[in-house]
Amino acid sequence: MSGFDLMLTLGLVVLLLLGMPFAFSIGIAVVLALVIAEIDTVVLVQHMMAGISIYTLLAVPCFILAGDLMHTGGLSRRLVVLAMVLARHFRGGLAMVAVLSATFFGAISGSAPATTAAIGKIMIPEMERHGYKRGFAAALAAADGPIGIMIPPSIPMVIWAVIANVSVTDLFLAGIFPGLLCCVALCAVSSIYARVAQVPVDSRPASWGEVATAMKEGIWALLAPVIVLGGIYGGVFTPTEAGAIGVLYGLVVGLFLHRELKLGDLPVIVMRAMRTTAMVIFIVGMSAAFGWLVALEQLPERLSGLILAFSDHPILILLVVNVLLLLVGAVMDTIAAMIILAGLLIQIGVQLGLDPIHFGAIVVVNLAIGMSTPPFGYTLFTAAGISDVSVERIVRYLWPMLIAQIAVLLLVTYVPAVTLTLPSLF
Amino acid sequence: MSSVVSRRFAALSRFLELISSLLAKATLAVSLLFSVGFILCLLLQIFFRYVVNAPLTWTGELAVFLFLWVVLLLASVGVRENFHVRLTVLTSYLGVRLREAVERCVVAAIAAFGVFMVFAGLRFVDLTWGNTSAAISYPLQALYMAAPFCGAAIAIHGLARLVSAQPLSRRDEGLPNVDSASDAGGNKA
Repeated sequence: MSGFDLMLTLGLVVLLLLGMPFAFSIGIAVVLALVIAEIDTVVLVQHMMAGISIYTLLAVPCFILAGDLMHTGGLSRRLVVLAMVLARHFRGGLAMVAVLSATFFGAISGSAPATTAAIGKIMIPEMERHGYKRGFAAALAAADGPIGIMIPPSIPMVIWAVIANVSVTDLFLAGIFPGLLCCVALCAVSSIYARVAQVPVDSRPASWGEVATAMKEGIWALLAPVIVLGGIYGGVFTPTEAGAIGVLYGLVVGLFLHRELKLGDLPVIVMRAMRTTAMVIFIVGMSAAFGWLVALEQLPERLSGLILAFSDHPILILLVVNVLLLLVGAVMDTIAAMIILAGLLIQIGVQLGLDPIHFGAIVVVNLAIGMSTPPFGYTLFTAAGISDVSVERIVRYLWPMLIAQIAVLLLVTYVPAVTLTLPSLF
Repeated sequence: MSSVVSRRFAALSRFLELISSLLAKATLAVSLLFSVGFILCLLLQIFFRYVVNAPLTWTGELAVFLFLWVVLLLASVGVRENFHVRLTVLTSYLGVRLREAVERCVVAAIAAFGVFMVFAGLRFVDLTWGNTSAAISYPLQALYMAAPFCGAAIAIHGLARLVSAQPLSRRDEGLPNVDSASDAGGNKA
């Protein structure tokens, strides 16, 4: 390996380990590599600018903001009420309510920690009141988060679509079944847990009257995905425009229909969404230069060659990819990991002859699960933060849920129909 | 003698902090304005296409222009507010003094990168001078100036933190975004 290769691989890792933020680690490694290779450093700025000024990426701030507005506007609470009348009377019903609410909320939100926070804040105390261990409730909130990014809209999917040059619309569709499967898998875990821990069933089934009231209350929350996603798949607007419509919808419902959103809170909410956006997109921009440079040196081809030399059996390689992504996702920020590894991953997908939408779904589902895997998982930290339960304690209850999610991941990986059926219909 | 030096250093530290905080305030205000701007652009685009039936050609381009500025402006504020995501697996095991030293080095490197962005950015503006955008044909240097401007802001915020008398390293650092929606008022129920 040349000094140039070393800088882009080992140099980058050292910077990351020293606690340098991702964006700057990538930027500095690229500058140093450019200096070593005697390439004009102005290309960093050139690729950064080109990598950020992409119209599709505007969907990112829009969906983050829309999710936040809808949450603050009281939509998530109404979704929980709705899930309540549907599932509370089963054994483990309240845990299923949490999973179901997260699945509904996933159709509004494109972020895993936001899903964990929105649903967890309501459901953790509620579950504890009804005989669940607080640790279990917190673990479930952490495990629910990834569903938020499998069900469209999804921030990581927008970013993957831009990097891998695939259709956002198709990738969104590919995530629906994996998200629903995760929902079913976590409901199963909830039911088993409730039996083993002997959580009492203390609710009778909801009457039709209650269901009707919950539906009426939750109608605006239920209509949100119909308008936003329906608009995309009806060909009415692009995913980016759909995000803006989501913002408008969240504003109208929060300000005028539910009246839980205050005009004075808006600047804070907007800027919170934009800070998150800037953090993510700045990494995307730096990685554009990084991606160009590693491609120039054919680094992804060489690295994927190393992996493929180990075996060329697709099942085995995909397993290696799964394990690699889960490990990487467990120790570092998953979106950043996805962006940095994109070149290598795309190359592996191409060499295995996989459908790019199927492969994109594998990557996103993998990294979504990585968000709740210890030691470093965003939804894990969020759940610990809102529940005051330590990460270590949450992890004790989390294992069965992780195993259930990994089972879904294997289905997504080895059964292309799980992801490709919906995109082929539209 | 040394007290004179330390007094001057304290004065410098306060001065840089003042500049950094004023710059951040201005940056945040402009970012808010631009953010509202690009969302309005997208909404106008839909409105004119379906309701007025006269598609606009400039909205997409203007939205991207505003978006790029928002991203880079807030990326610079992120240096001051320390919200850029990073790994803390290794540094959290270091002793307090060593961690502080590593942190100062990291901030110094970030400031240096800001300075690099100023020069490389200006060179890029210079190289592309005279180019105009496809739809509106605004001069592209208005877009590209974001790089040197935000590089300068990154350098200023970085320097202000570098000479700050406050310790830089905290245990929970690097994770503020985790909670991005948790304080969004969901505790009403």
